[in-house]
Amino acid sequence: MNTDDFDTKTPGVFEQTAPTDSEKIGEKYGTQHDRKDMNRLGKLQQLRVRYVFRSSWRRQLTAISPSSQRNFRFLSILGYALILGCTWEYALLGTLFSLPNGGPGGAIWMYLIVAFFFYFVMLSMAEMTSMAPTCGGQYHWVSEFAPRQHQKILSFLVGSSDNSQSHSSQANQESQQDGSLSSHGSPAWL
Amino acid sequence: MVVTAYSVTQQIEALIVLANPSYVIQGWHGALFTIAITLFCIFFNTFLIRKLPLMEGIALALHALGFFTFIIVLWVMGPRGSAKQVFTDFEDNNGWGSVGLATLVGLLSPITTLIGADSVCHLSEELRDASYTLPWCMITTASINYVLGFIMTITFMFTVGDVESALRTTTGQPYVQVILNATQSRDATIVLTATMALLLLFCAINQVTTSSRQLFAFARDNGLPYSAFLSYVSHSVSGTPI
Repeated sequence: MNTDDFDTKTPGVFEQTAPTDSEKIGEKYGTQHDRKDMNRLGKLQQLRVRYVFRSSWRRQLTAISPSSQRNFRFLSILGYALILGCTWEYALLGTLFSLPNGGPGGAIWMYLIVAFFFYFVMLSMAEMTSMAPTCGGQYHWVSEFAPRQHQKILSFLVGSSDNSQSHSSQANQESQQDGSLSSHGSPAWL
Repeated sequence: MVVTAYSVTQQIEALIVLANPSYVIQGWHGALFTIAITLFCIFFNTFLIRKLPLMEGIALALHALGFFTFIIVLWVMGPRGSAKQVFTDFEDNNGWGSVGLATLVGLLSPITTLIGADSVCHLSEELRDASYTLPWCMITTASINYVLGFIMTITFMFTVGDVESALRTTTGQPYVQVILNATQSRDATIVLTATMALLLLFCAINQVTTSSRQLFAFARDNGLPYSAFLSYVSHSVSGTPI
């Protein structure tokens, strides 16, 4: 399944020639659909491309045979997504915030409301993913759907806020720590 | 991703409090822990990325088994509130002045719970037949995870007992206190909290994977300073953007 577990100690065994025929490309770069999608984006498949060493004991990058693989399939990506979602864990952690703000009743009803509306968000995201499956995600879709004159600025705004949100929420977290634990989300703390 | 690292930190601090009741949680301990965990996740994603499918398997098993463990422990050993009281008990403990406003502020908690499932789209360039598989995966994930989260919310709210005392716990986590009250056993609580910390650690690792792909894609389109450097894909180390 995992084709990049090639044995570097025995030279020549896993040596591969450049993928010339379409069959091979289909195997290495995903299905026909995947290639069509990448063409549509105007991008080359770059992730998980590995170069095979022709003479492995010298460790020379002489071979130019990118043996890429799209190595996630439905079940593995499902597992990945389930763990990334982490809902029941966060349902327990979130009680720290939802118990003082709304109590048990509030927590349950708010959960139902949020789940209902988030499901539509997921549906539309899934729709957009099926049109343009790209690493970029949200900012790419914004640029596809925005009017031509606003395309660049809107896409840049979404992209940079996405990135800064997922990479640098440290400051926010640390300021949360400064408030005492019981005052999470209370007006006095704000 | 740092949010999750901070959650792992909170679990570890709760574990320390459980094992050693004289420990008092300090803000700077949490900050250092958070930085350490983030660095660990980045290290894992850089050098051990090829072990990721194996770790996914382990974590998925833990995710399912841990869910049932928590549910069963709470159902069998926890106190049971009355349905009328649980579903209609709206509280304003933080002094917003209005119960409705407080409930709406509490909206933040389910949003944090449910927001993660779309992040998987950033892996689409590593997925076979992405335009068909990925939407299915997102919908399935959403359905399964939303149901799990809902069951857990209901269960917890029925077994929470006294809200005030759960919130005033020294461990900093109401659910740890609730499990401790239910099982009356420090060891069992430690095991369950450790499971939780481990699962959240896996979640943090996955988030680093996701956000690195996102950064890579944005840099590939020249959206960031130092784009050429950021969009470089290292073929010799891991075949992933670093």
